[in-house]
Amino acid sequence: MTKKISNINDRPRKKPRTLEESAKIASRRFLDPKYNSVKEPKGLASGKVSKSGNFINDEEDECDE
Amino acid sequence: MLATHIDAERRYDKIRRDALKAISIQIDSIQNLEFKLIDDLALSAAKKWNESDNRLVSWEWENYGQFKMSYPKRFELALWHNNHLTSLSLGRPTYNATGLRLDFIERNSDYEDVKVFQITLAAMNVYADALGAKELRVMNPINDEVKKYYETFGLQYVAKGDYLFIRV
Repeated sequence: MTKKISNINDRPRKKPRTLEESAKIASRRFLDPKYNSVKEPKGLASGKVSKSGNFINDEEDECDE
Repeated sequence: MLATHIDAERRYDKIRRDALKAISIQIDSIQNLEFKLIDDLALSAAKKWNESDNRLVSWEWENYGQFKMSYPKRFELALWHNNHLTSLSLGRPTYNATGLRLDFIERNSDYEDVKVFQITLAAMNVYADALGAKELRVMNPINDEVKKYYETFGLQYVAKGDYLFIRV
């Protein structure tokens, strides 16, 4: 059974957030006072440079799953 | 450099700057915090990190130029506090552009006045939203302590791929 084309618009399209809205949400989310007591590791770092010290890593993520 | 690359660089440079400006306005509880792109001043300050005994990586941030050239849509942040470089970070959209990766982040291991990760995540979140990405990924935490720290902010670890993610 095929779906009627008119049903495509059943779900209203979500309006994209403005940068200001995004920033408000992001700061509330990640700078929540509940994190105040959490200590950040001194040598915090993430990443993997290539053997030659290059910031372009050979490994690509091939899918988003 | 191709004209299309220059165009993309210009377009995304504006989005990057606007995103950083937007988050800097929101995070006003921390005085003298500056959100900047990586420039010569930041690279020169990062060079001094080599002298620290607390540093756990030996990255040469001067090599960031190649990353910059390769990824016009990249996320980048040089976070300053009271004129101290507190961290540098670099990322790019995932393969299908549904997420934004944080490929590199390094905190100034001798400066403890600011917690950089949550601020960087918030800045990334704004840029990811502007790109239409739905997920943030933090790639290759350097040790278990760092990984656990990330998990406190709700990020989930994926062993296959060695990264953590959170929905935007």
